[in-house]
Amino acid sequence: MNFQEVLLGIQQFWAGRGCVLQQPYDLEIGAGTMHPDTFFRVLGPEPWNVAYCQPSRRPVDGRYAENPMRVYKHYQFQVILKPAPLDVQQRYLDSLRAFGVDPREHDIRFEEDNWEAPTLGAAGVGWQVVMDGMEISQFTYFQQVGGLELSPVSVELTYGIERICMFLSDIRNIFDLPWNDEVTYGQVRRAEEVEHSAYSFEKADVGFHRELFERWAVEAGRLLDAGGAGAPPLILPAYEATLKCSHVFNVLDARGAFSVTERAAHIQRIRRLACRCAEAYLERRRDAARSGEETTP
Amino acid sequence: MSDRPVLLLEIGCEEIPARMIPRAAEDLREIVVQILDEASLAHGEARSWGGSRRLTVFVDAVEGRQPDRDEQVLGPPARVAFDEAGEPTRAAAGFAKKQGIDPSELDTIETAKGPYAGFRRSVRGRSVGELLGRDLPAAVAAMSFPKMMRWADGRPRWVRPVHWILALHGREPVDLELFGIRSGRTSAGHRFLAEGPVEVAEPGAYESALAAGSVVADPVRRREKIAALLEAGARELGGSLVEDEGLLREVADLVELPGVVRGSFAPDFLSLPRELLVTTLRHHQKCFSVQDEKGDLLPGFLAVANTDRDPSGHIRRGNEWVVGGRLDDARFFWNEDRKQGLAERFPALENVVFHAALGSYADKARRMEALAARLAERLGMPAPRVGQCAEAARVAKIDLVTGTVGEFPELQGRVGGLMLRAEGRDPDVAGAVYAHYQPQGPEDELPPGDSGCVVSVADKLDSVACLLAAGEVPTGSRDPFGLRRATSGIFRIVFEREWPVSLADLLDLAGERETGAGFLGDRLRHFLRERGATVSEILAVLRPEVDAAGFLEWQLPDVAARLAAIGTVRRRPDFAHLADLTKRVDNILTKGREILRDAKGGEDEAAAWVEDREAALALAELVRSQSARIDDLAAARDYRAVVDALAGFVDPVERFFTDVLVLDPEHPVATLRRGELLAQLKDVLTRCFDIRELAGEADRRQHSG
Repeated sequence: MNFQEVLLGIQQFWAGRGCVLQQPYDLEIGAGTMHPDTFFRVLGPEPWNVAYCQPSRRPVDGRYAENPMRVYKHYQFQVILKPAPLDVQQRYLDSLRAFGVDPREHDIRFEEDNWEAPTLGAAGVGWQVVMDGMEISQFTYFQQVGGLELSPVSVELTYGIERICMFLSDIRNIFDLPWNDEVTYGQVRRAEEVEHSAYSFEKADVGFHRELFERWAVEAGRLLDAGGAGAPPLILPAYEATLKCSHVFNVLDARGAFSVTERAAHIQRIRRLACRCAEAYLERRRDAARSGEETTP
Repeated sequence: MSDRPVLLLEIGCEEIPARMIPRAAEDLREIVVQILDEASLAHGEARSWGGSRRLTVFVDAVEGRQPDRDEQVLGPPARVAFDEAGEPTRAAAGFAKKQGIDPSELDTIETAKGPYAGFRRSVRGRSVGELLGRDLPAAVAAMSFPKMMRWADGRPRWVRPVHWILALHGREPVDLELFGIRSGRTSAGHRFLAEGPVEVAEPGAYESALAAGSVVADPVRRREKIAALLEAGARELGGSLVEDEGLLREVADLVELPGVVRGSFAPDFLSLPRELLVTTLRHHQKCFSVQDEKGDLLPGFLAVANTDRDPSGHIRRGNEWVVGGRLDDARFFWNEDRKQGLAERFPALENVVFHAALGSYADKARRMEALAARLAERLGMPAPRVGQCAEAARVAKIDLVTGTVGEFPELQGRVGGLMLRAEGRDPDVAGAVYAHYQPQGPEDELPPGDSGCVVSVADKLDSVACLLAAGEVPTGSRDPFGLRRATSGIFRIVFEREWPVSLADLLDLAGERETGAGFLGDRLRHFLRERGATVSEILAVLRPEVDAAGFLEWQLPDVAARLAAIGTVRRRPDFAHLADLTKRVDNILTKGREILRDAKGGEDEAAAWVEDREAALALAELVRSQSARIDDLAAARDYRAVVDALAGFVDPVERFFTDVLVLDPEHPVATLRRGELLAQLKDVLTRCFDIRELAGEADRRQHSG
């Protein structure tokens, strides 16, 4: 199976099981969890099932296309099921069968891994799913997002599409993966990896990024404060500004721009903004529920 | 043999973290036993098994039902309940109605508090099923795990979502409900390899039914099976296993049907330090390493899988691939780190915070350097060795800024030492850095050389003294900086290396005499307890009454020597007696204080008085001769000989008490002189130990045990 077949296959699988098939969020983000269709939709009581592929940027993981497994950007496939169905492990395993994985021929284990995203005020309990020694998925029961306890509990399934594809095709270098029958992953992505690695580690202007961080953080706060002046807060734009901070933070981190305490202070600042977004969202949802508006499809 | 049936309970759930399984199985066993005991249901032995998807409890020979019993129910006092004609009053009627009986059924029952209205009824005993159904769900829901989760609508809270409950009393199903799941006689086998659900006819068939479902339910069998497979696998790779008991326990609780897969990696990775290879395999991949007869690693590994087959070779290939990638990463970090000398990276420590109030790791390293030098000098080490200790202490923490330690935090210290060795630096300094985190626990070895021990103590002592001064005093189960463990590490080194230092010396070396004394004193007592001394022995040696924390000034090896000597007393019946005799001396001196005071005055008369009792004369002679001898023995720290000398007092003292009346109001002078003898006797008996603490030692040991 080539890369795009795997991607199509998993989309098909979850679309066929009642998920809204969403598209990637169009900002630079580090994980599918940051997509508003996860971050906000897991709050509140409404059922919600969604699946999408999210290209995820992690500047510190850039390796100039020289490492066979680590990359600046990878494709995460994200599934949210809310509330988490009791047979969700079974459903997850069925999704692997859709790739042609026969669990009886592999060693598939659920090993404790409690996921946490400090910048999102998010934490969950679950496992990394390990197949034949390789981590192929993160399986998390969300307990908290935006600093808020969740009820009902959503489950997040995150697949590393490249890894699964490498596994299935027995190819040991990510850049050799066939994207389709003619083009390799390397042909599609190598230049991006090389240049963004150079940018993140060497060239990104630290002063400029510090300023960007500051300004996006102020902007996010301003949009959230709008409510204080009588106008409702602009929650989604405020959240996007927060995501901008998060990415800028990641670039600065890769540049080695932070001392330990400074790093912690920046994480704290992003987290506070994310938590305020979540609180404002729930507040608005409650108001809408009171006035009988429909909030979810 | 009882023919009462076995009770079986299995809670099936999603994969429990391996580290929590043994404790959880034990907790569940205790819960079931407690329910049975509280209901007074007779039962035999209870045992439990834990596995990644199930916790199982067996209780042998469980009585099926509580016996029926008669119960007396008391209502209002008879004078309120019955009128003068003996008819029930309204109060009695109300009570009867509440109890669901007719007022005519009420009798007068005599009690200690007088006559009451009441009745007797027979109470049907509950069945084991009723009792478990009533009490188990709440008790299980209240189990605590290091990390818990909520699921579904957010209400149930446990370690992982529960999926099935198997509950049988013999062949009878026990009906109960946990987190909305009803019990039955059906379990589940291996997640992938079982063919359908597993029906269990009765508890005795549980293990075989699960075996048919591809699950080895008994954790001991799983571990034994893995150990055997690992050994065989290592042999097939042409070597022997690098034993790792902790990893074995962990993997045994990660799998239900264990198998071992052999894999290999490129031999050029063998140029990496052994520690780095073993840790990479263990930490990231939970794989075991293999070595040849010389102890050199072989380019192979053993992975434990949750299946006993690998029909297409996927498992071996997958693991080899991932191990190769991990080793690649480890080599990347190691090579990157070695591009710059370790010592040159010292400035990077300025950015690593040790504690908000205490500055960076660079500050800590400077303190450690000074402390290590002072300590080495205090121990009388030659100047070059002092220099080595100081140098090692200065660079010991630098590996915290290396990529390798970032990737493998458990290799702190090791990486620094390996880098120094690879740089060709002084082997003594490299060795001291390598081992300075040791000992990490009571089982761990000490750093092998003087310098390593000095740096280890300097590091720990700096942390303990400075963090205590910064207010980070451990409380209850909270000890975020591991100060208790660090203190035990300090004591182990000081005691085992027999360093001639006192607690006060240690505190002075760290420059924190004020804040640390209480903590170190407490930890010293705790440490001595852990090494097998009894509370009484510790009190006898540290003599809180005699010395009031004076032991701060005592050299710790001296404390150890005294304790070792007093420890031999446990096996000497004569000594318990001596302790009692000493207490008696004490009592007489206390009781006789008035008589002795009154007896004073007649100095001349006293001087002229001559002791005529032979037992008193013998004792006086013994006190005189042994007083100087015990001083000599104590000066030579031969405390065992002191113990022997003290034992020599048992008979003479006993004879003295039998033959001589000390407190004799008729003879104040004799009382005075004999009182003086007893005071001298007490001084000699308690000079090295307060042996009074050992009185009744046998009882006390039972209590504390």
